[in-house]
Amino acid sequence: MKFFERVKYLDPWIYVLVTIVASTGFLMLYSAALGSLNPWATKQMLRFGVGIFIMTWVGLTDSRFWLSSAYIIYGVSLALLIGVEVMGFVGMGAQRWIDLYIFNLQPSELMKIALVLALARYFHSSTFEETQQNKYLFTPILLMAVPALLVMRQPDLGTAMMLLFSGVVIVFLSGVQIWKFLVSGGIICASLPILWHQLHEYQQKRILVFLNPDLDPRHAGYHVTQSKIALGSGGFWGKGFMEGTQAHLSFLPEKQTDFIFTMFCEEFGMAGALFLLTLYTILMVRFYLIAFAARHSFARLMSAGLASVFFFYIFVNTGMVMGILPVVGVPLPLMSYGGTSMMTVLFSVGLILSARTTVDQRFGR
Amino acid sequence: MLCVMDPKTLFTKRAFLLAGGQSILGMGLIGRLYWLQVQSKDHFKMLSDKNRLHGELIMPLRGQILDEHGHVLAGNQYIHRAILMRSDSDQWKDSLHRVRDLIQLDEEAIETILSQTQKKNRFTPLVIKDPLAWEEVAKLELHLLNLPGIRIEQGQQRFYPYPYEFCHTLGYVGKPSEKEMETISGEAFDLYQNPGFRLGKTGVEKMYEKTLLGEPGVKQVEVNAYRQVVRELESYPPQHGQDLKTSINLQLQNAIYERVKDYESVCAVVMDIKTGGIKAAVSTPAFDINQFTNGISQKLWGPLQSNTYNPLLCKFAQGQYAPGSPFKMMTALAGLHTKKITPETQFFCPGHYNLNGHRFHCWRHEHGHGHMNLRQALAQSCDVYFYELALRVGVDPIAEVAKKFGLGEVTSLNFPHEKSGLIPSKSWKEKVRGKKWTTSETILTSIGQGYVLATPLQLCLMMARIASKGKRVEPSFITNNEPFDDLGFHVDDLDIICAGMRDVMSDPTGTAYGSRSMMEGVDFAGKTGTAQVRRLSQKDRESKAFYNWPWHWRDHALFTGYAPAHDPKYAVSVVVEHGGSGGRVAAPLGRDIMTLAMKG
Repeated sequence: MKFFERVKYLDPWIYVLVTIVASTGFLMLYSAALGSLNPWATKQMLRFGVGIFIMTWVGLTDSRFWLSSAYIIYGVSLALLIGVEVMGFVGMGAQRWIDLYIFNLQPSELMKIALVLALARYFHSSTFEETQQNKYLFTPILLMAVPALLVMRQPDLGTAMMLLFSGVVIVFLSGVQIWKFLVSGGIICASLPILWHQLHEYQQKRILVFLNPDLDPRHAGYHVTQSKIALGSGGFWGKGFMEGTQAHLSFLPEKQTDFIFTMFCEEFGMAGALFLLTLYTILMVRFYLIAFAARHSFARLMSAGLASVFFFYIFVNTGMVMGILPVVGVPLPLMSYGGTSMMTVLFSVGLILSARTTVDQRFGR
Repeated sequence: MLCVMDPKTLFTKRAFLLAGGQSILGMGLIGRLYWLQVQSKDHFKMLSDKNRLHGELIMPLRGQILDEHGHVLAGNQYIHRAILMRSDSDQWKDSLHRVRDLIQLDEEAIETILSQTQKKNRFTPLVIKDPLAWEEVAKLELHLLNLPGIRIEQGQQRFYPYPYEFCHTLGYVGKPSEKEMETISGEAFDLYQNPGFRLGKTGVEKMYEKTLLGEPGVKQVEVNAYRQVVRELESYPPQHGQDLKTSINLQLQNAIYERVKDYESVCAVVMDIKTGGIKAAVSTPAFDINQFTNGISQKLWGPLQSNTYNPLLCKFAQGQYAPGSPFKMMTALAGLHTKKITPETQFFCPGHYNLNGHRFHCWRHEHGHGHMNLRQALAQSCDVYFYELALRVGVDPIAEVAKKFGLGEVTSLNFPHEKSGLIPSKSWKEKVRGKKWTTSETILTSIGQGYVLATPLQLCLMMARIASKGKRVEPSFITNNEPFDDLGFHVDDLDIICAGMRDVMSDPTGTAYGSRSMMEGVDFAGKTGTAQVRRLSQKDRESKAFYNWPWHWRDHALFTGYAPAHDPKYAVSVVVEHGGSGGRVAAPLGRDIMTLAMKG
């Protein structure tokens, strides 16, 4: 069967790296629960198991399938996003979930993948000349902007930024002239004051406190302040596994989700952090190698786009806990506790794996 | 001009750019990590410790106050107190109401506690009842499991075995007041906030606060973000307060109090002439200092404040009286010292003295004393002799002598709120009253009336300095063994003064002969005084109506003296407020006190 012939294209490096990173995650969840597999580690391991299965299954599919269904997937995601606006399940003070009985579906997570697929499809079908002309940029911008705005209304600033950035990456990779990016950047900077007023008060506060955490070290600045203390006090070698005093004494909030990297750094120090970042870097390198080797635009753009999303997760999460980016609630892929995140990340990795099989294939427009 | 590129090459180029950008961002991350974890590691380590480490204060034991033989005058006893600790539980309010029912607290107490909860944070312990009686402790302990948020603490509390005898001398301790709290910050603040902490408010407790307090210890604990203690770490034991051995003699103080407690208002001081140590200092009416330790109730405080005999005033250091005749020693000494008279100089007393149309009386105004020299004048306390003397000397030299003997300024004892008395002089009157000094004022000053004011402590000090033959004795509650400096007066001059004083009590012509010593081989020396409080008119004088005057119009009765006369050991001063006559009322007391002192 052609399906199982593709097994040999599955990249073993990626499997190894993904498993090591996830295992580190399990270790931290064990520590976070003060030396117990419950309530986090076991659940996460289960999810990882299911996720690996999904990743493999997706990895063995033909990317042409994704190429043809890209717009449909996008449409469905958009519909779900709108649906959440209308009838969402209110959890955590924000409308982000739809209760599907088995698990909570976050349409915004789905959209991260769908947007990449749609944009990759769009640029796959356009010629080089088309990409140079402005009128052909309207559709991509629309494709990015609409979900971004919807997500921002939820409110979820972090995901909205991610959507926009991943869109920009794909547009960039398609060869749109660089000067257009600079000009758009300039326009955005100029319109920052207007954008500022569009933000919710708590989002504004987040940014203000980010710029100066000492403004409110007990409340809004608390997370980052505690995170820096925990991180910094780990030093180069860390305090030792299970010896993270800040995390264990409840000074560090959200230690199993947003701040899991902080806890890791507290216990394993900069040495541990460098090790983890190296793992992530090698993963990124593998993703890029697949993107370079892929034979057609869709696969290339999709892989590179998803790799960039992966990069943004890591960069924004670590930057946030280190106090160089505002707190926007972005999980650390494969490590932060959370079902949806784990699923979408492994699904994306599966898509990248599937791109590898196109090496020897031919595509049409 | 568009240049068509192979999409793959274009992609590769762009992808490399992108990867490059991401690498730079990655480098930024690592740089930040380095800054946090290597550069600033110590800073964050310190902060992380600050988060999790908490020092719980260990209260030091307050030092005891002892008498010269080591008897306890102020000690500590174990007590239990009920504490509200809101951080223990959210159900604290219910627990508080249950406690109210269990040990019958009144609504006022509950209101006070609730108002405090508004001001203090959840981690500050609040006192519910302090101290608890044994039955209350038992009742609360029994139900403690159902009283989340309530704790029973064991602590030490100040206790005075002789609360009335020593109420002024020792003073009392109490919780820090709002004003006292304002000046405190930092570590001391935690100490002051502790429910068991007490501050010396007056008397010896306040004077030696630092010695008695000691240093608190710290029990280091590890806490989590909810300030719950997770485990105990190191303990640094407290430095308990040092015991203070005073110069006071317990037996003497008790005996004196027993002797004077039935009078309306009396004070007495006994000082060791060689060391300056105060052996006893009593002031009546007295009150119970044990009531103040936990805050005196309004019920008890009101009567103390409104009592006409002024129990709250520490009369031996804060009461100022016109000394009367005891001041004559100063006038006498000034005369001898300035060589305006000699021991042989005589003056004639017809019973009065006229000056500028005003008649000043001698106390023996009908016949006068006739011719007298200094020693006789002292023994018989002739006023006219001293008028004559003072007019020749002038007020300023008298003032100088008085100051050298401890009058006119706060003594080196520096008792809390000690008064300075008043010694007038020409410059003083100009400065303070804006008027010129008159000779009639000199006359009044010579016999210790007019503007002259002194505290019983000062009079005792004056006596000690005279009896020590001119040494600069300094009063203290601690026995001092260093010799005192010389004041620069001739011993011969002082000998005459002392002889005169001895005659007062041992010679039949002396005004206090009736109060002479009953002890074999021991003579007392001293001087009685009657300080006028209200001016006598001629009519009053003739009708002797003043015998029936209301209490607060009557003269004060004073006595100062020392014993034994031949080898002075103890100086004594006594004031009986509104006692009437020094000779009749104060001298017998003085004799009794000196007898008690001699008996040891």
